[in-house]
Amino acid sequence: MTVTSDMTTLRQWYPVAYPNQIRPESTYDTTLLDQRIRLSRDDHSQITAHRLADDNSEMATIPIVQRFDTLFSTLGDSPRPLPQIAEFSEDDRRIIHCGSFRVRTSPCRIVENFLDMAHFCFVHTDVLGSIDRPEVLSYKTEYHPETDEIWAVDCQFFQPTASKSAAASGQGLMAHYSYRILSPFSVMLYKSAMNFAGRFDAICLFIQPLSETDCLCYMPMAILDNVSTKTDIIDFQQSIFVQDGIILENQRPKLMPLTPRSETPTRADLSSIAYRRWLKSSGVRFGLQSVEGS
Amino acid sequence: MTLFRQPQSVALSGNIRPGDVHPVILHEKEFALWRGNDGVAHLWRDRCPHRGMRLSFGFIRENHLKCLYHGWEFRSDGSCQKIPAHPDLEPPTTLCVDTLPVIEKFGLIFAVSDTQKSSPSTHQWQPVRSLFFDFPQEDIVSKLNQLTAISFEESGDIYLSDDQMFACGLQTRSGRQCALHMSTRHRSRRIRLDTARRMVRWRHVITEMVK
Amino acid sequence: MGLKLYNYGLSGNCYKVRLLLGFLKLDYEIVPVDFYPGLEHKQPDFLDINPLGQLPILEDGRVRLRDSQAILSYIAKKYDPSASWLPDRDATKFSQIMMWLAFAGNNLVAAAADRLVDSSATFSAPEIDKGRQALTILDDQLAERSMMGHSWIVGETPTIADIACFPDAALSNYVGIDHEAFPHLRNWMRDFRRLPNFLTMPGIPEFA
Ligand SMILES: N[C@@H](CCC(=O)N[C@@H](CS)C(=O)NCC(=O)O)C(=O)O
Ligand code: FES
Ligand SMILES: [Fe+2]
Repeated sequence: MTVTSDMTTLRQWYPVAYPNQIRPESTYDTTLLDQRIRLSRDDHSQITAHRLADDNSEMATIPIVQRFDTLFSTLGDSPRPLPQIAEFSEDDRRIIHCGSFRVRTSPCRIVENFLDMAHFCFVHTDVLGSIDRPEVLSYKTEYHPETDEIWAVDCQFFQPTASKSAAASGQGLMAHYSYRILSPFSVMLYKSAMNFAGRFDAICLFIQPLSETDCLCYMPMAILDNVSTKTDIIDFQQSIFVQDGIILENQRPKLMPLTPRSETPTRADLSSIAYRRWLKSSGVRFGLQSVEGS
Repeated sequence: MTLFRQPQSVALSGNIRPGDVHPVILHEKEFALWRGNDGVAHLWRDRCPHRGMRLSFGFIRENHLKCLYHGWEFRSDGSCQKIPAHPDLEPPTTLCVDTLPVIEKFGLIFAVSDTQKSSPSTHQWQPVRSLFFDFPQEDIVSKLNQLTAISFEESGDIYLSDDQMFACGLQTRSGRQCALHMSTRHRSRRIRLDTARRMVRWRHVITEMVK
Repeated sequence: MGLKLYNYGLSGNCYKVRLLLGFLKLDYEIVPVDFYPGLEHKQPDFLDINPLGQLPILEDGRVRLRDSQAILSYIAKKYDPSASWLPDRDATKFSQIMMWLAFAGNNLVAAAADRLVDSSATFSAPEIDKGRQALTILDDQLAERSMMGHSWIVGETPTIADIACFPDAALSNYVGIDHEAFPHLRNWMRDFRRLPNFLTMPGIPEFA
């Protein structure tokens, strides 16, 4: 496979590993946008990354930065800066990641699923949604020109078990959400934190596209919870994620279609409409069905 | 939606129970084959008009199919009856799944280009076995007569045994994959079981040969 | 004292045990293990409990067991007075169940294995082929059973053979094996999901 020629997609930072996956004196090979790359740790514990040639020899170095407990790299020049997420530097938060999960579909489909509340009661039944309360109340989307981000705000949804810490209370609640599209293939949400009135958990989804229809998903979180164990929090988040996986790998076509009548959005899909429009105006082609192909 | 010139068998009637939905592949296209609780079989494009979720992952409520992703509910004619996220919204009549006509005869379900009358003989036929192969249909057809030591004669859309007691339908899944569905009018369980076993054995033999 | 299950939510082998405990409506304590990404099952503390470094582990007082098939047999034998999940009086039935337990613990593993969480694992073609072969053998068995008028792998009612085979069969769809070619397997899975007190797990579609 050749690396994409889509400049917008090339000029982004992507997660490529967690720091602990790069062992001293060993290498970690992975793929970014169809380009094989190798990460290694030198004698000074410094991490470096290279593109790999077909014969697995190391070629040009590529940059590596560590943010949100995750390693990011890029294949493009002057990439769009990584987002500022203040919650990750607040003292009383727990920074937890729950591994990386493979999902064989387009990164666009994965972002769109993350933005979507209407699936809660069918896909995360009795956890994030209750089958008898499926209504999505109206919310707003905003464009933030200073950061070039799309936000969905004033979102709310009735949830029987909104989080690991909410599970203990045993009764449902109206969960409040804001969503933030951070780049074409990364997105985060703020969700009202149980027992911390007025404050929000921050849950991110950074996608490493291996190819147009094969991704690794990284989910660093900065959450407010002084009740649950780390293992319980990870279990909760992973379960939700795998439930979404069944859906994501069985959407057709895998590449997201942008032509108007190929899919049917409703009011609940306002954030997806804004996302698709923004992808188009940003010139993204990666992960999208080409117009001829539709 | 018209896709095939020849009627194609897609399953044994007896394997598709009321209230169930199954994935089917025909000519490399994915379909959802389902039966309402009223007993009527439907073959739909395996793609929800909302966000493309495969409808074969959905679930049946009475004679409607609901999509697993957001629970959109479709009537048996493919039109959308309900969008749970908007309980008060009347879905537009243009919102519709692509459907394909099917008929049932000889104990098989066929995808056809337009609706014909179902033969009333279906209930006399019992399922024997469906077998799935990773090689083209032509490889099967030429060896069909070795199958059960019964000789088969092509008869329109199916193969019938000389004594008219067995029927075989073929399904082109892709250029490299096919399936064969066999039913019988024999009431004896012994005969059906023996035939099914011989079919499995035949599958082993033919898989070796084609390799 | 009671039953104690060392558990990971996304493990198909732990799920077998949760299924049977659920069908029998038994109370038990869960010890969550940070299997991924923590790899807690490979740490010394857990290796003391199971030197193989694998889940699940069941403890019942002073009894400690590994291997989901062995655990299913233990629970059925000890806590199912009706002996319907493991009919042990009938030599044929009992051994047929053992045969399918071995199948679940060996052949069927290729159909799903740990691919659910091992993100770096490649979905290798030979492994997928082996998984498909195992599912074909299970589909053949279920086809014969259905012709005899029965829905379950052995006998007239569900047994631990069905429980042992269900997780990897059902999860194989999620890890890349389409079930289009296994009509009897699909009907069996649907019957299984409709059993009273059935519990689902992530990776298995919820609605039956
Ligand atoms: N035969 C054992 C296999 C157990 C097994 O493979 N467990 C997985 C979790 S589902 C595991 O712990 N894998 C880690 C390893 O094998 O290193 C059983 O059925 O319980
Ligand atoms: S994709 Fe079918 S209801 Fe949304
Ligand atoms: Fe979800």
